[in-house]
Amino acid sequence: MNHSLQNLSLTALATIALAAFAGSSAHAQATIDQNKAVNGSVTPGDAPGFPITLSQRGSYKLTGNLVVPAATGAILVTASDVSIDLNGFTITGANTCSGYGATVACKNTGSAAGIEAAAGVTDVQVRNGTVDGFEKAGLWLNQRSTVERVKSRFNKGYAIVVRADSSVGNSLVERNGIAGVYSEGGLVFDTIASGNGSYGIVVANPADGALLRNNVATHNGIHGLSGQAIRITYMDNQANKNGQQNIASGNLATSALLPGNVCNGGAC
Amino acid sequence: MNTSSFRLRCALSALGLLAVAQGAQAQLSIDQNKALAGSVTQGDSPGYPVTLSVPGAYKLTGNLVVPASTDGILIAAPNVTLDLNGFSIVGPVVCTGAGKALTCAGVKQGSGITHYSGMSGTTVRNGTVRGFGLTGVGADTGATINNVTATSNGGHGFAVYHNSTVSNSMANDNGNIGFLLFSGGVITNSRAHNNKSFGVRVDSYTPDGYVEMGGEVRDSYASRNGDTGFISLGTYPVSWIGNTASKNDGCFSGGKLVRNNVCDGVAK
Repeated sequence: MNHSLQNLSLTALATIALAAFAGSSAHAQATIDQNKAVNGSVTPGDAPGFPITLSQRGSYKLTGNLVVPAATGAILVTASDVSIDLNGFTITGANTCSGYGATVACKNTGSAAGIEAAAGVTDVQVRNGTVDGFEKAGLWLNQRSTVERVKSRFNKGYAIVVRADSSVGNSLVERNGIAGVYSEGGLVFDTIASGNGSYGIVVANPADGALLRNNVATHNGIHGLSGQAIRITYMDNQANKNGQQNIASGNLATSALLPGNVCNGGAC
Repeated sequence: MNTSSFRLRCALSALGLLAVAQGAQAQLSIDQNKALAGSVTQGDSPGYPVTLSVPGAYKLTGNLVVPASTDGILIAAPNVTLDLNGFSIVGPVVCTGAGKALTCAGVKQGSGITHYSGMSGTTVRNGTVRGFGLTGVGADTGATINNVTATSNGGHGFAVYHNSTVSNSMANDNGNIGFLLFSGGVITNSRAHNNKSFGVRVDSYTPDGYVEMGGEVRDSYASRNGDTGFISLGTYPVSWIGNTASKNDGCFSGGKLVRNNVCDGVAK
């Protein structure tokens, strides 16, 4: 091999390698961090600052924590079929709560939620991270939502709100002013609800019931699991030391309290 | 270091970079532009469907928008893993109405994900398949479906063959069955809402009737479907464990009610 051909080969190899690297790093999943939130234009119509507006169907991933001013939401979802991977990061609002259970007292006022789906926006999924310290709720979502592996604490209202046909699983909701999980039907499973001002997990107004399975509800101010609707299945939950009832069902005649539930170490 | 030694090191370095880069690219990405360009794998023509003819891992990096009467993804190799990565595969069909009265506007052709016969071992996860004339997600034997939503498809939401597992998934507003496992398999922690026919149907025989397969459906929820919530046909019964059916046209049919199943608020 002569020198010029050898040099060409080396150059070509390096070029191929670099191009391959560049190609592998290309990624169309939109990422979100504090700087992008401040700058705006995460999606069309997203103004600088909070809330970040997600106006397009798709997949979004946090690549850093978000710190949000008081009385302001972090993310406003205005399109259905949006998936948000918190990627282990935390969204922090300005609200704080002190006390535990019936003594929980939260500071801020306002109606901001950490992640909120606009009216009519459905099929939003949130996973893998923490949303703390908002006024209305950590997550405020609509029908057919999915929440997995989310921690939400110190919200003045609720940690997680979902409407009909939704799923909340493997989550922790603790020390929120009103309730940990508010669901209007679907699945709630493998979730710990503790020290919330009124309810650990409450199911209300569903069109077609809910399945509450393998949850733990302790030290909530009023009820651990509260079924304020019909056709609710309580299966293998544990509820201890809640202020009034561990499992309270307003319509037990049309709900099923299965034998596997445990309240204060005994049958419910 | 002399010139020859330097060049040799450069060459080895470039080859090393290339090898690393190729490793990083082992999971091929798919987006709308790549779908339209073709050649995602060998034999993949421009446009839809995207044909996956090589075993391996594939990941969506954007939504796929598919024309009417066309499949979105064609699985043409065994052992394909498709990570939807929070994105959606979207066709033009829209289904509206409640239960038996649900109707789907659009051409009754095309599936979101389909397969050639014998292409076993498919995995699909983390996303949404919406708006196809036929099935949302179809897969051959030994499939794994996790965290996938199939919605508003003119046919079944999911249709998979024996020895398959479906978990943490949702089928809603489809024009036929929500989840159809032709011959055994496992469904866990999933939900079927407002499909025109059955919510969940897991049969215990292969279509040719020669091999009878068992199966299990666990911790799942079916509501407002136009026909029975959970149904199984075949000699070796499917086990129902911890499922709740609410406001379907019937709750459980066939199979074996093992424990913790609930029909409209009544334990079965």
